[in-house]
This record gives sequence, structure tokens and C-alpha cells, in this order.
Amino acid sequence: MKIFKNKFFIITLSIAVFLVILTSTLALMGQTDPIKNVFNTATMGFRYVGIKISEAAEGFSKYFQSIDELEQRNKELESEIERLERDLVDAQAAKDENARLREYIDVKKAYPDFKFADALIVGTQSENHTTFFTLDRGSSDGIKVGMPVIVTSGVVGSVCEVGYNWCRVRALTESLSSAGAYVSRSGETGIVSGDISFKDTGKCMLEYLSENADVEIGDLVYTSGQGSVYPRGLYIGKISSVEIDGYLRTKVAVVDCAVDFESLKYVMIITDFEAQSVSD
Amino acid sequence: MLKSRVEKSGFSKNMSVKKIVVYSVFLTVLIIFTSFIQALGVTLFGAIPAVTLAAVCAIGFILGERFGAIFGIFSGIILDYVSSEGISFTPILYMLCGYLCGAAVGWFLSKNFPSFLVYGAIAGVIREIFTLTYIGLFSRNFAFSDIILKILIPEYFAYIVCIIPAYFAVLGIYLLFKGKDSRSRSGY
Repeated sequence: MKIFKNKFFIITLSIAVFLVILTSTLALMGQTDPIKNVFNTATMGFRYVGIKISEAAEGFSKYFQSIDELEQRNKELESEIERLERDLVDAQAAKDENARLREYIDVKKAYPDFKFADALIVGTQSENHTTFFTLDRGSSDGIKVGMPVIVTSGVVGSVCEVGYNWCRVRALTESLSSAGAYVSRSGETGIVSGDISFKDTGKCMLEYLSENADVEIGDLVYTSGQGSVYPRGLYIGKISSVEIDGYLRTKVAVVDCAVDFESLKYVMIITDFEAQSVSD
Repeated sequence: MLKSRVEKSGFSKNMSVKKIVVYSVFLTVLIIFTSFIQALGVTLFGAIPAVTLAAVCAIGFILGERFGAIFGIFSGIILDYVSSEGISFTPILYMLCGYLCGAAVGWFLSKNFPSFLVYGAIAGVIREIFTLTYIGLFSRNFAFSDIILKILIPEYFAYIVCIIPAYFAVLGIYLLFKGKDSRSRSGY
């Protein structure tokens, strides 16, 4: 063909072949052509920019490609969270129930002769001079007025009013509450009663102690069983101060009740016990 | 007849140094753009498009076979410097494609866009023959059907897509200079 016999074509083809042989030989020898080095260095910036743009575009497209998967996964995780939250609530309730039942068992172990009915405090009334707890047990459960109410830590009070499925408890710290008590160390007996001045303080008074009664700060006070309201041996609290009533010539001790009336939730009503006094 | 041959070859006095520089810069920019595209990972039909070859074919078709050959060698060398490793036939390939696209003008098709598409497609076939030869020489596992389906066909179609914009880009530069030359002759 004439075009391939063209002088220009032969010359340029020869030049092209020479250049191919030259660059290929240098490449096979492992030599880097300086011009090639310059070109690659010069274009490296463009390649770097291209790579960065490519990574950004890839991330951008992945965002849209995977958004459906992410939405699905998000829904699954939300359902899982809801389920776990429900489980957590159930677990917490079970934990509370467990703690309460352990307390119940402890009390049962401490007082094997007593019969108990557990109750939940469903309401607290606090008026200017009295505080009552409303429980979810009533006459239908065999609850009667006068039944003592306790928790593991000590005496709460006694039932003062009963309905069909509710009852009201007057705390031991109330001014109308009283219980026969004794000091465990010395055996001194007296009457524990509440006072309006001790409202919301968690304290009560141990009165009618003789002037020479052996009572000290730190002594532990228990119910004596006198009066047949509270059985003997229920823990009331610890004496925090002792005073002498010069007029009546008696000693009066202030007792810090063991029960934290602010945090009560579950209590136990003693439905049956064999009344015993200290003197027995 | 001599004048027409000179005009056909494109090696006329109107092709000043300025225009040669412009086309050279155009091709260099195109090659840098190709390396940029390679870094981006942009592919057509799974292959990196041979934009530079399309431009060389367009230059050969519009300006003549001599310019096609010269620019083919020029761009082939730059491509070798920029992106090839080891043995490469790029200067020969580009020189041949550029030359043939220019030399074939007037054989059986006139000088117009559809003709360029035909010549460009033939140049693409030549390129694939070179690719096949290269793979045959240097590849250990020569699975012919795999090479055809996974390399040659995607490469070819990626190149075919590029010849259309390449043609109009080169034509635009040519008409720009041609317009200026016409005005200068007329005294503007």
C-alpha cells in the first residue's frame, strides 16, 4: 500500500520504534528515566487529588447504598432496645421483689412463732401533726386494728384503721403512738411514745424511767410486750440522749428509731403472735 | 494537485508554531487528565477510557496524517512516562492510529463526522490487536475467551464512547484557529 511506502511514514515509524526500544530497555534494566521521574512527580499531585475525590465519592455513594441497610438495622436496634428496656424494668421489679422476700424470710427466721402478712404502702398522709401510712391489706386479709407493723430493721407502728382491702398505720413516732419498751443492756423498762416535736425526725421518747434508771446513750431499746399490742423483742432503736425531768423526777431518753420512715415501701403486719412480757 | 495534497496533509503554512504548541499542550493536559481519571477509579464498562488515543485519531483526521503521526508519537511517549511500566508499544500504536486516521480520509468516505466514527472504530480495533499481542507476549495464563470478554471488549467500548467528545474538542480548537486565520487574511 502506498501510504506505508510513504517516506514520512517510514521515518516516523522508525522514530516510534526507536523510542519504544529505548524506554523498554531502560525499564528492563531497572533504570528510571529522569524525564519519566519528572513526569510522574508532576502528575502525582493530580493523582493524589483524584484519589481523595474518589474516596469521598465512594463514601458518598456508600452512604446512599447502605442507607436502606442502616434504616433496617436502626429499626432492629430500636426494637432490641425496647425489649431490653422492658427486660430491665422487669429485672428491677424482680430485684425489688427478691429483696423484699429476703427481708420477709429474715423476719420469719427471726420470729418463727409469728404470722405475717406482707403489705405495700400505697399512700402516705402527712398532716400538721400526724403521719399515716396506707397499706394494701384490709379486713379481707384478716387485718385488724391494733396489729403491729414491722420491717426487718424494726418497728413501724400499729394498725389504727381497717377497711375491706386497705388499712391505715400510725407510725411509732406519732404523738398518739406508744409501746412498752425495755433497754436491752440494763433491763430498764419504760414507755416509748411519739411526740409532735419529733415529727419527721424519726425519733421517739422513752419515758417513765426511774430517776436512777441505768440508761445510757447508745443503749438498744426493744418492745417489752406490755400492753399486748407489740410482741416482746421487736427492735425500736438506739438511745441518742438522756435527760432528767426534774419535775416528775424521772429520766427521759430520746430514741433514734431504727426504721427509716422516709423510704418505706413494703412492710409486714404481724397477724398473730403469742403475747409475752419482759417479766415472763 | 500538489496544493490539494499539501492541504490534505495539513502541513500548510497556516499551521504555525503557536498552533503546534496549543495542540501539544492540549494533549499533555489530556494525559494528565487521564492519570487523574485513573486515580479517581472512573471506568466505562469496567475499563479506563483511552481518551488520548481518541484525541490523536481526531487530530489525525482533522489536521492530516502527518500531524496525526507526530502527535501520536508525542502523546505515546508522554503516556509511557506517566503511566506505563516495562515494555510499552504506546508510541507505535498512537503513531499508527493517528497517521491512518489522517491518511484514510478521502479513500472511500468523505471528511465528516460519521467518517471519523468509522476510522476511529478501526483505530480502536488496531489498539485491541496491540493489546492482545502484548498480553500474548507477556501473560502466562492466556485464556483467550477471558481476555476477549474481560479486557478487549470493555476497553474497546470505553474508547468508542470517547471518540465523540474528542472529535468535537479537536474540531473546536481547529475552527478557533481557522477562524482567526481567515480574519487575518481578510485584514481584521
